[in-house]
Amino acid sequence: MFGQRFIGHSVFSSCKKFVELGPPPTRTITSDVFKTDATATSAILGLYSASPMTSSILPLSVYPGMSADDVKYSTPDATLDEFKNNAITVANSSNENILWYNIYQELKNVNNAVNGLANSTTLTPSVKDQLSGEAKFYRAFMYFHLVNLYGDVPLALSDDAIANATLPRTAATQVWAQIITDLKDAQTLLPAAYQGTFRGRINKWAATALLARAYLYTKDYVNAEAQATQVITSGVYSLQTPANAFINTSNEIIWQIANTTGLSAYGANYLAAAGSIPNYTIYDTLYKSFEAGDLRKTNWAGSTLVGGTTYYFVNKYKVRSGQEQVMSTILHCVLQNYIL
Amino acid sequence: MNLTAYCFFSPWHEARRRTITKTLLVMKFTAIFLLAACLQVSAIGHSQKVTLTAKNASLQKIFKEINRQTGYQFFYKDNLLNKAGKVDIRVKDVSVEEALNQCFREMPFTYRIIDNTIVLNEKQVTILPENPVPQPVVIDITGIVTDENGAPLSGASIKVKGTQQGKTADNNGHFSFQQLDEKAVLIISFVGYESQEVAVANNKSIAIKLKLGNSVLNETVIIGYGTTTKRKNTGSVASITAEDIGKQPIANPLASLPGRLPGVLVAQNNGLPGSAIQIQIRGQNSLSQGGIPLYVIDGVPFTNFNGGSPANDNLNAFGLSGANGGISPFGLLNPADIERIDILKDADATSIYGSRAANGVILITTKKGKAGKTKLDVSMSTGMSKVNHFIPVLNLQQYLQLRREAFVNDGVVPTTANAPDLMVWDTTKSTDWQKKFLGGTGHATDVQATLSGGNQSTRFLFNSSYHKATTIFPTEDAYKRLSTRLNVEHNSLDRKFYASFTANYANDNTNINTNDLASVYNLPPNLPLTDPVTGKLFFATGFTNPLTTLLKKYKGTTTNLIGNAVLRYTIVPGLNLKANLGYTASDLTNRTTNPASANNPANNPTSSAQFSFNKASNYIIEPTAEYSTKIGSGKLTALAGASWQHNTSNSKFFSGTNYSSEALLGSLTAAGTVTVSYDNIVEYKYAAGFARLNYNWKEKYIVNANFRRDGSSRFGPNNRFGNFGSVGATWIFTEEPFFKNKLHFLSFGKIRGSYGTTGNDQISNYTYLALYGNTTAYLGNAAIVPSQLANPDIQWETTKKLELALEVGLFKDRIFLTTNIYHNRSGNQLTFLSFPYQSGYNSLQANLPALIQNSGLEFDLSTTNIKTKNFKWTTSFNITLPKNKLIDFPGLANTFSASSYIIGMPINFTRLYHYLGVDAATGKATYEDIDKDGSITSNDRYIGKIGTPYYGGFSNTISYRNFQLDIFFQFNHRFGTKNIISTRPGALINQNTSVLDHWRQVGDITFFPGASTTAGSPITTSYSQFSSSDALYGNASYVKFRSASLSYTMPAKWISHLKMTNCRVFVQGQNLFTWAKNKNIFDTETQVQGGPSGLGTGTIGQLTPPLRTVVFGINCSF
Repeated sequence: MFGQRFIGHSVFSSCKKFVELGPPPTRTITSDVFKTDATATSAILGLYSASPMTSSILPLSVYPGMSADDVKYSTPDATLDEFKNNAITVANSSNENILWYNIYQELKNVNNAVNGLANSTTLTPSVKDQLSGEAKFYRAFMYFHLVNLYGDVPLALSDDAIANATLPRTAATQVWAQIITDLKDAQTLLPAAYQGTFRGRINKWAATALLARAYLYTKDYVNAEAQATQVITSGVYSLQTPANAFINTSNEIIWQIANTTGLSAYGANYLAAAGSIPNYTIYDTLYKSFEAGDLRKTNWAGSTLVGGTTYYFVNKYKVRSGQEQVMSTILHCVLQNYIL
Repeated sequence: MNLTAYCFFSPWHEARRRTITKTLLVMKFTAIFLLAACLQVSAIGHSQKVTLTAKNASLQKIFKEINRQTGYQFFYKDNLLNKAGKVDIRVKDVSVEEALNQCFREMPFTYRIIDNTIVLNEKQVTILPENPVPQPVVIDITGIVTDENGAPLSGASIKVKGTQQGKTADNNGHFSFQQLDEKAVLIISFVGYESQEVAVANNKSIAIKLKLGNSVLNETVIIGYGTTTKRKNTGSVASITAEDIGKQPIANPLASLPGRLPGVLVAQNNGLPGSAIQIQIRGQNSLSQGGIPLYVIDGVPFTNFNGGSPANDNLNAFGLSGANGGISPFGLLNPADIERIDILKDADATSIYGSRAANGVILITTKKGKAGKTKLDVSMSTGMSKVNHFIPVLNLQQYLQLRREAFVNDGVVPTTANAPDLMVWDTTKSTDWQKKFLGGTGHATDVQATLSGGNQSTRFLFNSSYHKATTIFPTEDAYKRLSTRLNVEHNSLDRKFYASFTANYANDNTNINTNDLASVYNLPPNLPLTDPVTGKLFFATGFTNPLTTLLKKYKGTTTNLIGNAVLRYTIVPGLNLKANLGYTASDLTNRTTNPASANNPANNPTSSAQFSFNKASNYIIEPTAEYSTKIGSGKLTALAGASWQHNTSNSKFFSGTNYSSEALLGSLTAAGTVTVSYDNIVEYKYAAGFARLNYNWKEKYIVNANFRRDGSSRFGPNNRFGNFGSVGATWIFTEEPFFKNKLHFLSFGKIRGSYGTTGNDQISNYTYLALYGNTTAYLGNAAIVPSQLANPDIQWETTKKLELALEVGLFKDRIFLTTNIYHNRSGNQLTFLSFPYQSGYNSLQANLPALIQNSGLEFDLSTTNIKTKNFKWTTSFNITLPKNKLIDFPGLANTFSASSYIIGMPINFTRLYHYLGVDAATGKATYEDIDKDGSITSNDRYIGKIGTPYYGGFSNTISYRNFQLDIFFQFNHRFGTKNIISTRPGALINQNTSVLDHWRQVGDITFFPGASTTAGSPITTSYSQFSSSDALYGNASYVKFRSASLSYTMPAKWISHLKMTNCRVFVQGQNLFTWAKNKNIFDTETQVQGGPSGLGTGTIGQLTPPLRTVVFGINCSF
């Protein structure tokens, strides 16, 4: 073209350079994230604190809880009623956006980390092992929920979102196999010691405990018991009185998600603000099925009178909100290993 | 053939002086005689003094010295000085004439001073004729044809009257005749200029200055990287000039545009000072991305889009906003600084701007100083603004009646909980909310002072202005703008080098409520504002007490610096090198405060404030080279250039909460807790190369081709560069002999057409990059997560534009009609593709092969109805008939947009229920069950009429002696909301008076259903489709008496003793009256607050409308 000839080729090659742009100062290019210990660690911390995780903590507990007639949502809600009535439609937006989409969003973050870490050659080996172990644990943890909720699910393992978009379902058995593989890897990679005193990050025992449950759910009772025993005999954990089992310094805790918003995911929904009805309440039938003096009833449930009606609520987490004494959201408790 | 070489003597090119051919002529010793018009000697030149001391010096040396001291250039035949001897001279502080007289005392020369040039000629010697019989005396002559500024008019025709003899001026405007009868008369003509007849009268050197013809066709039109005239333009350009801008009392220059220009739809977001203005040129080209035109100020692109969504160029796109919404960067331009605004529409005009020109280009040209007397221009105006129209609402009794009916209809007993207005509040005290909160008078004051002047080589203009506008709210809040602008232009004496520098600095201060108060209009008339017992602010559930709105404040300070330089150098005549350099920096600091006292104490509120700091800077470098030459009988102009641009924008947003003192809300450190809500730093880089070829054959056929190659950092490495181009052609058929000789009433006729491509790049930055962004910290440490799904293939939307136009001037252009037909198709649409959740993302931003068509017809008619010595009446009228259609959208069903678009329909169509009226038995609203399934569902909607079938404007200017009157009407035929009923009549909110026509008892046939308030009651349930039915939708057309201006210019004899050259007093009005179908809205034009969506679709919010403003002023020049 005329213009090209007139202006000359060299101008265009300099133009090409001119319009190249690095990342914005506020963000990091994905390919650079796993080059240094610090950014790689931030990417793993994002698995704990970002919204796909924090906004699915409560639903993963209460949605199945509603289906199991344990808890109910206090205000009429057509989508949540489908959970209550065990008649969840395909178009149910809570199912689609909160359970399914949140889990796959978290898996997208996890797969980015697993693959980014695997391809990285510049990290300190101990850091790389620790982070890879956490990422693999997370992958197992998310698929553990997915396979329990949906059975056969698309098994996305790569960080190529476009390829993952068209994956077909994978048989549940294969998903379970992947969960166990990832947890075994995590068990090997993770150190037994916690990072700091607060049990907010995953350690070897968290992976072991989840592995025990994975074996249990796949009816491999021998391995399930063996793994659970490892946790119990590790010497790190001990049973607490029921009243203290769920406070954030409890020695029963294997892993807890640190509160990031100032409001405890559970506490704020189970406990009510003064004079109002909690978001989620226990069915009267469930509450009344506890025998009098049952420690679970006295320590972990409560009742409140609002507008002349008694509401029963979950009282495991004692504080709604606050900066200092916040009850963290506890995902695993050593007790579960005894129940095994 | 002999040519005579002339030299301009100036120190710069003395060395390069060259002789083409020596002349061997027997010269008649004749005194030089030039046209009287050319003999005006510059007044400035006369006053300049010369000091010369030389012995035995050459004349060249003397000339050089005079040139150095005075700037005068010498113009003479090359071999003339051969006859010169040496000079002895000694003069001190004498005039140039005196020095020259001394110089030439002994020399065989005479001289004349023409402007800055001294023309030498041989001294006349009287020779007695040998033969007394008179013979026709023949002489050889040479001459130059220039325009009034001395620029050569290449191609001008020089004819000898009464003969077939004729010449054409060469590239430098020169011509020559040999053996010409000295009594001959020359006719010099050039297209667009007034012809002149010049008697040779034995002059051997003739300089002719042609005056530009009076026709509108010769008006300079600014185009991309150059200028043209209306006559020669191959593209579609609509323009408004300072004259029309200056007649309107506006604060934002873009506010001068609504209705004035065909193809340009303009809407103001609201009537609060500083509010943004949306402009859409020839329809919406893009499904989801931006429609912002490219703005260019004095040749420098002024791009403020920073990736905000929806695409907008508001300065606070990433900041806070007050009741006035988006802050227009153009609010920082002083309208009085604008010389003209040219809007480029078709491919021929826009494709030289490549990937940013799909939405059209708006070229803003600022005023420059003019050579001549130093002029001081002072202008002052002051006036008032008020809301034009209040919404007629029910009075207290009507309202209470409606409420009581509602409870009866619902079978519900009013209680203190569901009917505080009936049971608790005083049912005898009523407030006229609109009068109380919107009934104030805003005051507008504008002061301008401009100093300008200069000479042929250096000119300047300095303007300072102050503008202040207060609101109609019961507060002292005001918007203030202070602006200063300096422009300096300089050209070297030989006119080879030209430079223009402009610096524009503006500062605006906005104090306003955070929220608009217009929504008060439908508060229950008896809502108490203060508690009758305690006297404290009253907080009613579900209502915002307007007194608290007045306590929540927005304060914003914006500064804006626009600096630019234009440098040009003429290497040889016809070849110009030019560089445009621009730098823009804007800085916006704003905050909103929410004191605890403005909130219900029952909720234990604490005071909070938000702060945002936004900085944006932008530099651009655009070198160009332009070459023009004659090829055959035509003129070829070639332009090539390159462009580099770099934008940086940095926004920080902080929230301060838990303030202990409301007095300290302006401070960030006084906050109990400060959180960084976000920081947004983006960069945008852009590079381009472009070229244009224009061939003009005898001012009859003109062909124009543009090419641009663009690269933008917004796009992926795979598609970062793209090519755009266009071809345009013009045929001025009235230059053909047939039209010239036979159809005299047809003074001008032109057919032009163009086709080409342009692009749109208004997407967020970095979409092609896989990035991790910050998320909530975990255990006190920073955490990051993947923030977007990268699309390395992302590229611009492409719009192909086709245009055909006819321009006709009748009766010496007293009637001038321009008709444009355009047909644009925009493809490669940038939109969001819905994505399976299992990928971890819900969408992918990508180019989809959807195709949108915008076509239309534009007419622009201007007529001079009456023109006598004292009376002149001109009219102009324009109308645009646009159409928008989605042509194709492969895979539409698999996108988010599946329900939003239909192939073959406009992209912003609306689905409506068909309202069948009231069931006379029950008072319920009934709708047509279109799908006959027995219930009213979303499938029962039909596609309503949408958009703006036509719009335009009509203006008249009448001048009689010293009076001038301008009136302008804008009209807009459109479909949209024709009534706003915010909720069902009978609910706890007031209504406009249209609801008086509602069902009351069995058998009533009314427009509105019965009153109802209780959720779940049959009538209330029947209301659920009401607001999305055609009950409230339809013809929303309006005609606006947009502006009027009456001015009186004082007679010169009154003001001359005040040393004034001009003095004018005026009264101007804006938004004077609106005739609208919809009476139940403040203004039919106002858009949804903030965003550009809604323009032209008839979506209307109840916002403070553009105000009726009337100002009185005076303008004096000294």
